[in-house]
Amino acid sequence: MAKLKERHRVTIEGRELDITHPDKVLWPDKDINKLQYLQYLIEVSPYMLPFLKERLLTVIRYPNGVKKEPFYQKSCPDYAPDFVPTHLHDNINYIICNNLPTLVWLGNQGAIDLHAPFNKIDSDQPSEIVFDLDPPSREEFQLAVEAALMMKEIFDKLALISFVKTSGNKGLQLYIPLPDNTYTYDETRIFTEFIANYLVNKEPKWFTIERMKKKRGNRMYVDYIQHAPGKTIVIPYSLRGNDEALVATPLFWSEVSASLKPTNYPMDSIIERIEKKGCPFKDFWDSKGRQDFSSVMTWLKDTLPQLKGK
Amino acid sequence: MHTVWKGSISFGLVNIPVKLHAATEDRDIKLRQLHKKCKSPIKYKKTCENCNEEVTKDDIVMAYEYAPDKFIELDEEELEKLRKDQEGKAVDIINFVQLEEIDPIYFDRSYYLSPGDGGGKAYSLLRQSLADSGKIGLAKIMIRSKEKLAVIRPYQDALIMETLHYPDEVRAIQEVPNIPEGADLSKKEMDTATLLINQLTEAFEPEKYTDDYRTALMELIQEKVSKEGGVEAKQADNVVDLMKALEESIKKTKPKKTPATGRKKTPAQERKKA
Repeated sequence: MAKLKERHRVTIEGRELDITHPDKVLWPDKDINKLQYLQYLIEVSPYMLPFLKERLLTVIRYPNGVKKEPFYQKSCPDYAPDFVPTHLHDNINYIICNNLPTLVWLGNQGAIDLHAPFNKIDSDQPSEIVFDLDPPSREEFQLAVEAALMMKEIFDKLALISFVKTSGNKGLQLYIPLPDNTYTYDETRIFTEFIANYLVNKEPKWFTIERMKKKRGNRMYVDYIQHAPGKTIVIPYSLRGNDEALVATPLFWSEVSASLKPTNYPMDSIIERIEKKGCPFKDFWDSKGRQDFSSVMTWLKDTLPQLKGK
Repeated sequence: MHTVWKGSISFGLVNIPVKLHAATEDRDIKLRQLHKKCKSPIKYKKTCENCNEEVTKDDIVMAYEYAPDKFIELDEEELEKLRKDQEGKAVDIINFVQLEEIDPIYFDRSYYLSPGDGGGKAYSLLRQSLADSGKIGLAKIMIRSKEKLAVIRPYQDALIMETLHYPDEVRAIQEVPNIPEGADLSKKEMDTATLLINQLTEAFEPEKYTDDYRTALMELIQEKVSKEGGVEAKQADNVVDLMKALEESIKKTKPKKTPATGRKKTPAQERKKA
């Protein structure tokens, strides 16, 4: 392959930006260079950007590839181009990745893990509920599958619309889209805590809500505390800074089974997958309006305080 | 302030509607018992040793053990009738006495009195007349199924009622072991002790004294919480049953939307359980 120029001026949606060191290898084991990564971001952006829109962005940057030291970045650097939207929150000038040029610029900066909170910048109420099913290691990935299936069964019985994706690492993440500006984090906590307690009571050998890591053993931690203001989660289709270049991949529920492996979805498989099967999160935004969470919430709010008062 | 009792005080020809509010509160730090193994709160279950079964409120009757293993049963109706007879009565101020005449050993609990509807004027009259006379009222009152002796006295801007123990509730001093009957004490010893008392004599300022043990215990708890994060108890009520109840309730509201799921065991589940 011919050596690429060190700096390329490109125009994306009318914005000019420089791609630097496009042949820098970001994933040595997979031989993926920055240009390939940026191509991926551009192709996946119609599916990814809606999850970044109007949300405070946190990124993990690997400027010298995933084998080298990464760092967290919340605050927008001074040298960012003018077209990068920002929003001041808690004295941090956050990047709001609302458009493709910003996404590509971030990719050029070696931003790999893209994380966003559960609410948009103009609201302090969650836009969706997310359960993070994070087993102790990839060896116990089946615990995440088991929990996801148990939860899907519950959500179906409660007539709740739910979505699932891989974390791109060792777990699964479940989404329940909510109508905007309707429920508070205190309310969603009642629900997430209830579901977590249910899992732990049903299968105490597999699941735990124990905060202390050393007491968890091989059980999977059901982290309902993570769904809270100020907390973030990796967004759909974001890459992770692991050697295999795995993607946080939206799944069809039918794909959640014993044959599911956390390593099934590396970057180079994603675009073809979307072209063939479509995006499993296609109806995500539509379903927010259709989601009837109020019946469940009302029941829990009526029932649980009485029990605690006993 | 939470009302613990409602009724009236009768004082001569005056009837004063009043409410009673607990004047003091216990600030002890309550420690819970947990099962060592799983850190769940311990619950008490009432069981009948004879039938070897758990009993509920409906299975229980009250009785008095008038001789060892001999009981006379008192049903709820009989007890209720007695209570009603007593409670219907107003609190009669029987006598007036001097506060100093009552030894502190008799004092049990303190309640603030607030005037009930339309009782403001009569309340003021009793408060003012007690204050002017320097005396306190002695009364009988039925609280929580117990007839109590009580004193009513002005305290700052309010009237306060202290319940008293009956003399037979105060244990006889003769039962206390090893009380010396008087001893040979030298004048020097007495002088030294008296001097010490005088030196340490001060006006009583209750704000100066705090419960050091309680403060230290709370500090220890807070330190442990911030360091160790504590353990979360499993929801004591059966959350699995609750989930069923929730599912049922949702099913009723949306019979059509609920898909007939009944997931077969996944291979993963079978493998795990095998």
